[in-house]
Amino acid sequence: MSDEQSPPVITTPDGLPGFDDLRTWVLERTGEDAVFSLLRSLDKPGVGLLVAEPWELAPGYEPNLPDAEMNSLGALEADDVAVLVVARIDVQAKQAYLNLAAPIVVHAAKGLARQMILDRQGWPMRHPVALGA
Amino acid sequence: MLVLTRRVGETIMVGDDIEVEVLEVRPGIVRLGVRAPKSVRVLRSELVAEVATANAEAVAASSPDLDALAALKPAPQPVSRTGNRP
Repeated sequence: MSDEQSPPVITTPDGLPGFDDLRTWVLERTGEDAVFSLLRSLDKPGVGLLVAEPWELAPGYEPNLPDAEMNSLGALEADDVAVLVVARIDVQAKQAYLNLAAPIVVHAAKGLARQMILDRQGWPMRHPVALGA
Repeated sequence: MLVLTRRVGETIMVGDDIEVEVLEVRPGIVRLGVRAPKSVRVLRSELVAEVATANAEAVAASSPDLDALAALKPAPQPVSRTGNRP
């Protein structure tokens, strides 16, 4: 038996844009110190979104998480949640593109998440970050 | 689809607590005001579609090679807000 616990199931009650019927996911780290994690669908094998914590990768990022959406997560304050952003990786160009306009906000204690679309906040949907190896 | 004709300044109600007002009409452009409870998310449809596209791209490009992903060391890139703010 492995001593590692299997990662907790995260539910997105409203789906994610483009994946409206996928509701359950697990967040898997790709490695010990890895920057990117895989938000893997439990409903559809082979579907996974690469995600990353934005704070170190995109200094200056200060998303304003809408109260109504925080309420629907059952989150009372920002400290209740973790913020992840979806990353598209172009291995050949050694670039990652972070979607800072629609972070996935995870309430780990409740096992809930939703992707919050931050309209008119001016955060880019494809923020380029150079990748080393 | 329900089709209604409205003049500038006139409104429609959606359910009990969502009101949509026609604020301005110009050739090819209509400005609408939406009064809705804070719990109701109001977004331009194309913005939701853009996020769906960005999500789909992230999936299409996500390699199952987790070891290779784990080795990637991105360099921080500062970000600031751009236009299109209220």
